[in-house]
Formats: sequence, C-alpha cells, structure tokens
Amino acid sequence: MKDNIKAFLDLVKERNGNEPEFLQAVEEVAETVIPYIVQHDIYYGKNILLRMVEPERVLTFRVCWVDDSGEIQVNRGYRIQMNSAIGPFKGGLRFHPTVNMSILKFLAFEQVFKNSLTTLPMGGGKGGSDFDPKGKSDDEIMRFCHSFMGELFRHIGSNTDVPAGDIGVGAREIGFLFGMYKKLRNEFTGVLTGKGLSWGGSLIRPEATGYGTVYFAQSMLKTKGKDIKGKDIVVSGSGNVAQYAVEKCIQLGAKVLTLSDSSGYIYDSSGIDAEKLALVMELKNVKRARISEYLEVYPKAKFIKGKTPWEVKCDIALPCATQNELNETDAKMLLANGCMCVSEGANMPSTIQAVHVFQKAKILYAPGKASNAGGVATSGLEMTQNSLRFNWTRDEVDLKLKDIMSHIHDSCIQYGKEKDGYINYVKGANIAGFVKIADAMLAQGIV
Amino acid sequence: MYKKPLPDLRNHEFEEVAFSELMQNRINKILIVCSNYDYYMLEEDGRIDERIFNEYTELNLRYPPNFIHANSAKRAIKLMAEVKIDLVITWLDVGNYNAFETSKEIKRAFPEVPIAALSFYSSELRSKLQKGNKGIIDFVFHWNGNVDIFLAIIKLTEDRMNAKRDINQIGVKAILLVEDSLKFYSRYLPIIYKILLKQTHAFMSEGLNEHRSMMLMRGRPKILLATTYEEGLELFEKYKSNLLGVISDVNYFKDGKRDPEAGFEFLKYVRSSQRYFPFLIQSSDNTNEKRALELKGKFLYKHSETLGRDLKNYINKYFSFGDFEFWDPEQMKILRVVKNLSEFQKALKTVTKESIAYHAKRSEYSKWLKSRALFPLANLFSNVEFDDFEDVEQIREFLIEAIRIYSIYRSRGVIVKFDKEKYDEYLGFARIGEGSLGGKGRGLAFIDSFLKRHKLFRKYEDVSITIPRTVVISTEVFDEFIEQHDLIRFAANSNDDEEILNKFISKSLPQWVLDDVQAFLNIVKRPIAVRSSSVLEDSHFQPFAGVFATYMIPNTNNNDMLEMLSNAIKSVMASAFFQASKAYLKTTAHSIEEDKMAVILQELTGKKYSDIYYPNISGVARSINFYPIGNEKPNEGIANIALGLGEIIVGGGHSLRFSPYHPKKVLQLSSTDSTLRDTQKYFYGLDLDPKSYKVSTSESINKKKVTMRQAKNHPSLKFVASTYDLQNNIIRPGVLHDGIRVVTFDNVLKYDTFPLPEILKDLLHIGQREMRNPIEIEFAVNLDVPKGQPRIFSFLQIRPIIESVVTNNELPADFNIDDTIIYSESALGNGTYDYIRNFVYVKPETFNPANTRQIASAVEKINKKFSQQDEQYILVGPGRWGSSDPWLGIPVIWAQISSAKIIVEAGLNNFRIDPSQGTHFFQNLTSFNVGYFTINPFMEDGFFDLDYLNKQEACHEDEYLRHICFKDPLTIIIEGKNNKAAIYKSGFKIIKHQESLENSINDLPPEGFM
Repeated sequence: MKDNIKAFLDLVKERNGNEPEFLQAVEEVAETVIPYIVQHDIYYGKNILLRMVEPERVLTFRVCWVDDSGEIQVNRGYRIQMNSAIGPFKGGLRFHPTVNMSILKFLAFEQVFKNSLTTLPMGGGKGGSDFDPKGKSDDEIMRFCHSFMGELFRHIGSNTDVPAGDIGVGAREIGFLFGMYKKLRNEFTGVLTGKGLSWGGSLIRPEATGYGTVYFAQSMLKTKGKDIKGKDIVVSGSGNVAQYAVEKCIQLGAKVLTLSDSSGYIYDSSGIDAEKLALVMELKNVKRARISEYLEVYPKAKFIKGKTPWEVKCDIALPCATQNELNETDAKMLLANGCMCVSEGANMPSTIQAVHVFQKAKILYAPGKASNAGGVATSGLEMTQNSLRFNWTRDEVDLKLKDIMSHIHDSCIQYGKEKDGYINYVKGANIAGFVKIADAMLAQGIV
Repeated sequence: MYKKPLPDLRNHEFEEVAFSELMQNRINKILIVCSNYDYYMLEEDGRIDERIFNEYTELNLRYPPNFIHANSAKRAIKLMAEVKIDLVITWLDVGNYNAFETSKEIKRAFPEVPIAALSFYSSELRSKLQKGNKGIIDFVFHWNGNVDIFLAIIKLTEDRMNAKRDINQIGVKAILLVEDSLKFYSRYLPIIYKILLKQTHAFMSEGLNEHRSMMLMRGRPKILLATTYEEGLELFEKYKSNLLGVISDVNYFKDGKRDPEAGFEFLKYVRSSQRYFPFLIQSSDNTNEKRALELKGKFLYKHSETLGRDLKNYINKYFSFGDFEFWDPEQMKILRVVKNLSEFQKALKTVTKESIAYHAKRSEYSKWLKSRALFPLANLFSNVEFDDFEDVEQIREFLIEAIRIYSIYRSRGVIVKFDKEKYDEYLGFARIGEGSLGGKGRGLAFIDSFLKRHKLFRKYEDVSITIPRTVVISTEVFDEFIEQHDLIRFAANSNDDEEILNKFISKSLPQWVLDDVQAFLNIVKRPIAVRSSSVLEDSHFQPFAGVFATYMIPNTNNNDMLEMLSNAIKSVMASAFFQASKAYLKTTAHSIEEDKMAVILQELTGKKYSDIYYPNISGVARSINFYPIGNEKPNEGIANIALGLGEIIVGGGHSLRFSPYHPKKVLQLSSTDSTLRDTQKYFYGLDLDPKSYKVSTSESINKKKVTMRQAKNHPSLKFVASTYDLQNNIIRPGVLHDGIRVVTFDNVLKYDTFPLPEILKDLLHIGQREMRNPIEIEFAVNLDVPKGQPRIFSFLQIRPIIESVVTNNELPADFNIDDTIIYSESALGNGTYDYIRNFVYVKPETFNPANTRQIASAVEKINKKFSQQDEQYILVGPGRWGSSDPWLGIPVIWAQISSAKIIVEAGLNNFRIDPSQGTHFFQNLTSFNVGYFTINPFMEDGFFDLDYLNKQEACHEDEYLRHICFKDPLTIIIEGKNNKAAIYKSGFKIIKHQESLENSINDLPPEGFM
C-alpha cells in the first residue's frame, strides 16, 4: 500500500515539483483514498486520482487597472477549474498578495471534496489574484474588480463556473464583480455567490455554519438513539459560529453551559438561554467587549481566566473557536467528564492527537470538514434560488440546511462505518467526497 | 436704480493692515549742518536732544532721533559716509549764502537724504528758492526759536518718505495742508501734529494690548504739505481716496503767479466731485469767511486767539477724528457720543433711523473708522453706498453685524490683556496677569498668530479654523498664590499628592484673579478645560498626555461655577508639585522653583449629547510618518482620529489612522472583519452633571466612558459612523440602516463632507515650516452646528516631534554595508536602539514551510523567557510574521513575539513570499515603537550576513531557532524618514555626526524666515 502511495506521490511531485502547498494537500487525500481505491476494483487502474489532481483548466490572465494617483498597476488573475464532474466549478476568489498557482491549486483541490461532501451538485475550483485590497480605496477596489471580471467573464457562468468570495473578497467585491459581469454579458444570472440580499443573496448565511454543526451533532446522536434535547453542551468561542450554534441548541432544548474567547471562558451552570445569548451577541458584536463582561449582568456565572472550557462536565462539546484549540489533554478531560459527542464548528479545532483520543474511545466525533459544511451548503442554496428565480424564506433555507447536514451525515455513515460498527466520520467524509466524484467521472468516460 | 449687491459678511475676508510694515522709513539720525555757534546755541540754550526726547515721551512716541553736528559741507559729507543720516537740517540765513552751496554738495553726494532748512527771514528765501534751487532743499521752515518745529520737521519728513506706500498701498489717511506762508505753516504744523498724536493716543484703546496699540500708532493720519495750487492739486488727485480733508490758505501761487483766489479755486475743484468732503479755508482776512461758506467750506481765522483750539475742534468734528457724534439731522442736536468701537456698535442699535441715514450718506462711518486706523472695517464700509441698501434698518443691521464679525476677526492672533470691564464674546485669546504664558500657552498663541498670518480661518467653505476661546492665567498668578500662602516649602517637602492638593484647595486665589475668572465665566457658554501650561514644557517637548494635569468642568448656570473653576485652577497649580512632576523635574535636572505654572482656561469644542459633552472628532496628526504603508510617504504625515474626547488616542485606545494624502485608503477599514475588529468600541465624553466634578488628583474624574451601543441615539453618530449589515456582511456608510454602528469616519474621509484631510495637509505643512521641525498637532472638530453656521476645526496644540529632535536617527555618511548584520531599505519605525543583545533567528537550513506551526511554538517559548526577564530581542525569520496562512510564514500572534523589539521578515531563495510589511501587527508596532524590516537578500534587496551569525556561539539552539547572546548591545538605527535601517555587528560604534534632520526635510522655509 505504501508503495502505491509513494509511487503516486512521486509522480505528482514530478509534475508539480514547485508547488509545495498543493503537494501537501494531495498527500493528505492520497493517504486516505488510495487504500480505498486499491480495495475497489472499479476505481483501481483507472488512474482516477491522477486525473483528479490535474485541473480541468487553468487560467492566468493580466489584470491592469489605474490607481488613485493615476499610475497603471498590473496584477495577475487566476482561475483554477479543478473538477466539474458533479456540477459547475464552484469555489472562492481570493485577493491577497501571496496568491499564486500552488496555493490556488491546493485550495481548489480541497474545494472539490468539500463541495462533493455537501451532496449538492457542485464541482470545485478556486481563483483570485495577487492584488492586495488592504489599504486600497473603494474606487481602486472597484476598478480592479471590474478589470478582473473583464477577462474572467469569458470563463464563468451559472452553468459553467460559479465563483464565490474568500479572503479579500467580501460582499463589496462580489458586488463590483457581479456588476461588471452583468454589464458584459447583458444577463442577470447566479454567476457569483455571496451576493447582497436584495440582489440575489440568500438568507441564513451568517447562521449556517453554527446551525449546521448542531444539526450534524443531532444526526450523530440519533445513531445512538439519543436526542440533543436536555443535554449539557459545552461551546467554545463566541463569534458567529458559536453564537448561532448556541441559538440552535437552545431552540432544540439543550442546555449550553459555556462560551469563551481568547481571555478565558464563562461557565453558567443554569444554562445560557435566549436572553443571555442576546447579551453575548451584544457584547461580542456590538460592544466588541470581552466575554467576561457577561458576569456584570449575570453575576452567578463564573469566569475562568486563560482556560478553555473543555474541563467542564458535559454531554456534547462543540469547538467553535479556532484551530488547534482542543489538544490531547483536553480530549482526555472531556472523556473523563462523560462527553459522548464532539461536533466541530471551527476548522480543525482538534489536534491530530486529540482526534486519536476520541476515535480510540469510540465516541461520536465529527471533523470540521463534515460538520461545518453548512457554510458551503448555503452557497449551493444561493445558486439553487438563483436558478429558480425565487427567494426562500428563512425557515425554508433552514429546513434545506437541515436536510443537507443530514445527507452529509448519511454519506459519512455509508463510507465511514468500521467493521465493529463504529462510525469513523473522518474516513467517511474523505471517502464520501471522493466516491461521488469518482463515480461521476467514470460514468462520463475519459474526458 | 442699480443696487450693488452687499458683501457677504459671513464669508468676508478682512484685508489685514500690516501695521508693522507702516512707517518703514524712520528718522533716527539727524545731521545738523550749521556753524558751531548756531549749534552751541541750539544745544545749550535749546537743549534740543532733551527737548525732543521729552516731546516724544510725552506723546508716547518711540524711537526719538539723535542729533549730530557738522560745521561744513565737507565734514557733513565725510560724516554721512560713515554714519547713516536720515535727515539733514541746515540754517539759511542772511550772510550765510554758503548754506545753499553746502546743501547742493550734500544733495549731490546723497540725493536720497532729505534736507530741511530753517530760516529767520522767510520772505527773502522764497525768491531764492525759486531761482533755480528747486530740488535741493526739501522743506524750509521758519525758525522762531521753538524746538517744537523739529518735531514737525521730523514727522513731516517721515510722512513724506512713507506717503506713497502707506497711503496708497495700505490706506493710511492723510490731511492735505496747502499753505505757502513759511511763517504760518511753521507755526501751524507743530500744532496739527500735536493734535494728531494726542488723538491717536486716545484711540489706542482699540489696540487690545500694548503692542497692538503701538502698532496702531503707526496708522495715524499723515500730513501732506503743498505750497502752491498745482502742488496741492497733484497731491489731492494722488491721494484723494484716503484724504480726511484739506486745510487751505486762500492766497498762494497758481499758474506761476500769486492768485488771491487760489484757495477758493481749489475748494471749487474739490466740490465739483465731492459734496461732503471736508475743506477748511483759513485766511488772515476775515472777510473770506462768507465766501468760504458759500462754497460749502468751513472757515478759520488765522489770527484767532484760539487758533489751536479752533483747529482741534474742527479736526475732531470734520475729519472724524475724535469721538463719534450721532446727530439728529432734523433738530441738529447730538444724540449720542461714542468713544470706541464697542460703544459705537451699541449706539447703532438705539439711535434713530434718520441719524443712521444722515451719517451714512456722508460716509462718516468709514471716515471715523479710518481716522482710528480701523482700516479693514472702514474699507468694508467704504465699498458700500447708501443706495445699495433697501432701507435704513438694513444699514443698521449691516453695520452691527459687520462690527461683530470684525471684532472677532480683530482679536484673532492677538493676546489680549484681560480686562474684566471690557472682556466680551469677541475676544479669542486673553491673558490674566503679566507673567509667562507657559509652554502650552505660548504654543496656542503661536497657532493663533500663524492661523491669522496664513489666512486659514476661513480658507475652507463653511469651516472655521480657530483656537477655542482661551484665557491664560499667567505665571504671575501662580507666583502670587504660592507666595501669599507660603506654599513652596510645604509643596517641595510633601510626598503626598492628596495632601498637596487639599492644601492648595484650602487657600484662595487672589481676589483680582477671581474677579477676572468670574468675568470670563459670564461670557463663556460651553464647558471649560483647565489645562496646565508649565514654563518648562516646551523646552522639553512634553507629550500631550504630559505629567501635568488637565481638568474639565461642565458649565452650568450654577452659582458654584466660580468655586468649581477656581478649584480646578488650584488643582492644576498643585499638580506642579505632584510626585510625577517631581520625578520628571529630577530627570530633567530642574529645580522645583523653576517649575512655574500658567493655567489655561479654554472652551471645550464639542456639543452636548444626552448628558455628556464631546467633539465629533478629536485627533492627533504628525507631519512625519515613521510607519508608512502602501504608497504613503514618510513626509506626507499621518493622522489618528477618534470620536469623543482625545484621551482615547493618547491613552492608546482604538482610533482611526489615515494619511491626509490618501484618506480613502484606511488600513483598518480594508475589510468588514478588520473594520469590526479595529475600530473604536467606546469613547470619552465630559459628564455634564456638575456633581461629577470633585476635587481630585485624577483628571478623569468626570470623563465618562461611553460604548457605541450606549451612544446609538446620539445624533453625533451620523457624522462619523457607518453600519454593519450582518446578513450581507458589509459595512454600509452612514446610519440609515439598522445594525451595529462602527466609527469609520466614512462621511468625512470617503464622502468628503468635511475637508479634514486638506486642512491637516495645510496645517502640517505650514506648521512644519513655521517650527522648522517635524511637528505634531492636536485638534478637535465640531460638525454638529446649526444650519448656516460654519463647522468648527479647533486647533488645540502644536509641538515639535520629540523623536526627530532629541535623537539623531541617521545612518552615518560613511555607511559600509559590511559593518552590518542586516541592512534593509524597507524598514518601518524610527529610532536608535543601543540596548539589545539578543538575536534570535530561524535557521534557514532547517526551515520548511510545512513546519511553521512548530516554529511558532518555539518562538513563543523563547519569547516567554525574554518577557520574564524583561529583555528585548531581534527576531529574524522567513516569510510573513503573523500570517494566518501557515504556508506563507510563521503563524504567530502578537503575544507570542511581544518582547521582540526588532522584527525582520527575510525572504529565502526557495521561499519567496510577498512581504506583509508588518500589517498583521500594525497597531502593536506603532504603539510599542517596534522596528519592522523586510529584506530579500537573494535578489539584492537588503543584506543579511548569515555567516557572521552562524560563526557566533549560540546560547540556545534547537531544531528551528538559534539564539545568540551578544556580550555588548548591538547598535540598531532606523532612519524613519526614508525607511532605511541597519543592525550593526557587535562592537561597532557610530561616531556621532552633527547633521540634523531638519536640513533634509523638504519644504523648509528659506533662511531667515523665522
């Protein structure tokens, strides 16, 4: 097996030798997927992974624009159209000075699997430019975006390639890009996602990741015949993801005990209810204050300075703060305190060692790539609404989101169930994403 | 009938009269050319020097001239070659015909120097003068032994020397005297001059302070003397728009011959164009009176017993020279007599319509103002005609409003001596007591003067750039207070701030000061800032948040106001002796006696919102930017602004940083996330509840911290805030939408609703020129003003930038790259560091971008060690420090590198990453004055001597890092003004050199500018 992997990686390295980020991403996927390929004849010998690591199309183009002082600036634009086996290319645009081919290929490759996992018909891609929006004026950003779209519009379309935002591309940039696309193509279609609500955007975007994480936990509990209702939940973080995860937990009847920020965590033994959550939202979103100020209104709660909430006894843990916030010791502490389910809201919040602890103890553990896919999913829902020319209500979007999370969960079970019945969600997520694309590629022949 | 549109008073630019430029030519040295005998008589008998001196003193004139004597032309010329002579006076007497020859020779050698001659025998002289001697002797006077004539000669000569420039260019008034009788005008001129000078002295009260009064003296009317009809006519035509009137004899030369009608002809000529122009006929023939009156002139009998008094009355009345008399034109009686501008303005409100119209038709308002040297206002009035107005009430309003605006204008740039009887709302800057203003006070006075000099007050439409109303209680009061209560020893010995404060509070300020403070309170309508202004401050460039105190008190109509204000004043005085001040004095080697404190009382710029008071914008701007990013340049300067009181900026809270040259490119507002994260979350306002002010050693006792949420209904937000739209994840400019308010100043910076960037560009540029040094200014802006009124930009402080003054941050002229470990041409920061021994670098040979997280942990570990030992270090590593993407650099957060004083991002040949130039840590870099260098040695951008480091013994080394502890500190220089920096090898010493920063700053004024 190791030889297979090594041989494959050597080949990829030979062809993409100067792209270290991309190589690393391929390596990670290869390690989980190649054993699966080897075991399944229909994929073996079809060079399916080799075909996957080669983008369908790579575009680089010149982007010239005039800055505020009248100087002509030249940047480089990219679009990696990685894989469209299951739907139009879909993936963000990144404007950042460090953008280069290697990084975009790496991101596009990951996007292919992420999108596939949502079970929505979306291929994968990524694009962007080495343009730095930091410290630029609105006018400069607009001129750049217009110039960028002046070339990109030829290569995208609602049925071809649907870019979204990423680092350096927010609603403002999407607006400028969409405006130029519409002008050049003379059509109003859902060619970009992340649009403003009044011109094609979808509801529930800020909430999606948090809600999705809770829905995923709920699905996991169901496999054990349990329900989230009445469970004690520990949540880390206090940003968007954490806030809406808490909101959904409360709606579903669970008891949330903690929230945190970089200064420490608050522990409210009587549970954070809707009213208390409103205070947290005000603290973090409006006052942009420390979480410890929660105690000024609810003095019965405790503030534990400089610690993470994993020492609190709970049934469910939702790490929603940041990467590597949960280490091996924390994981052991959670187990000791009776935690039975971990659903990641943040990207890679658990260290590899912590993940091993969870898996070894065979508790329910969902990696971020599965449990926080709610964000990517709503992007897909925005495309659907655009195609339908119809805007769903909050409840409708929420319902669809719930369905999607449940489908993702089902896929993970399908591909992650070990012989002893334990569901390895990490493995499940990796393979589910792969299989859907691979099947489509096989069906479509060698193209 | 066509009406000229009236001037727009609100935006009227008064034309400043440069009084200091008036009377440029003065007579300082007079050469008397006469026989020794004549001079002896003059000296001993006449005591000319002494008498002229006395005369000058009595009339409050400055610069009395000196006299030198020469007894021959040869001597005179020799003397004149050695000493600068301004006027020659000689004697023309029978038997001394040489005098003409002497004068001729002198004139030939020094044609510019005027010559005046004195003579006993006037009649003979005339024929002589007319026989080809014209142009040699400028004036001839009759000598009757009265030294008064010298004063007239000097003044008349000075007036003639300055006439062209002062009268026609600047608008000084003049009186034309047409008289050919030597004897008569020699008697007459001294009288007129004395009247003029005494009257001028009377109106000097318009001068606001002594210096200004002396300046006003220079604007006194001049006298022009003509001896023939043609000469008179010529002078009249040349200066008629600035003539107060004509005094004319009747019988003098016209068309080359004596004409007994000449005076009347002249009068007729004048009347043909000017109906009300004052014209006084004087004659030794009483019968001429009738004729004069028929021609609508006035008459004066030359041989009147009371000539002097008659003349004075006439001048006062018709040349609008004395008090202004409002007449009732129907009953021909006086309604009101006013002495000065303030009374004049008050009277205008009450006198009858008929009276206003009567004087307006005769242009008497402008005339009166002109004779009082109030030229800017007079010029405004003389540009409008009676017929331009709809009715008399409009004239009344126009006059009153114009005087109001002029009063404000006039007080700008002037330190008025505080007079509790005269203090009014028009006075901007006044001083109580005679002592020093202190550093801050001087700074404010300087700002006020340069705003005026550069005409910045109204440069921008609908904006008033000004200093807030200020009264400085000078150090005299401090001295008197300390002395009266014998506080110095106690204050010097006490180590307890509270004790000092309480003792000071228990004593009372001198009563005369309290009276003045009460007069100030009666006028002031806003809260008052009470600031310290130590005499030591500007000599050491105190930072704004200096060691001395600033208190703020609300202004209510409460009876306790005086007590509250006087307590605040005493608190500021006490702060001179607080521990922090004493420590500061110690470090600067000053004794406690030297530390004298003036106290500034200043109206606080801002507006009341609910129960607090604050400005819409406070800010600090610097003319040099040591942390330029993007396309900013160091000499373009940088500004930090915030909502509310300025404390938040100096206190290190969130403010908004922008370059006045690139106001639309604000780093903090680059993305929605950064806008939410890096903008102001709270601000400070003054608590308007009078109970909130208590005597305290803490300045912040009544400053209220207000969160953006609490302020959500404050109308102030509409000027400065934007709104976060959660569903769309964008920042919407303005406050029209619901959502979280964020302080972006978009309205000002992006949508140009207020020209803040332009104002700052101007002030930084001009301020730097004026100070001849990079500067820092402090300001506050009130945008929330009633419709139609200008927005207020308050200029609060100016000072040289300490870093650029005290230290000399320049790489040496003989710079050699081989002396350095690192050399960068892309460095942020400014300063010279000579205390860092620790050098930590990421080993390039083991570096792998896949391991950046592990490297971050290693750095964190080593940083912890330094912060425990309170030491600082140089940190060098590949890629972008603090990158959120671990592939692009080492993903540390600030806390993991907090003890690094110099951070270097070094590109590697196989790891070529676009530099971040510190943008991840920008706030920390600037607030902790950390140097941030970028180098890419593989492409010859900068230099890195890795071999040198590798040869040094490491005191710690692991898989990724190497730490070298140098025995001696390394020398590091960051040249902020052009972004160069070098870290020198151990043991390298810089030889100090003298060239200072200011020489290289562009836009410095030409030599001698200051």
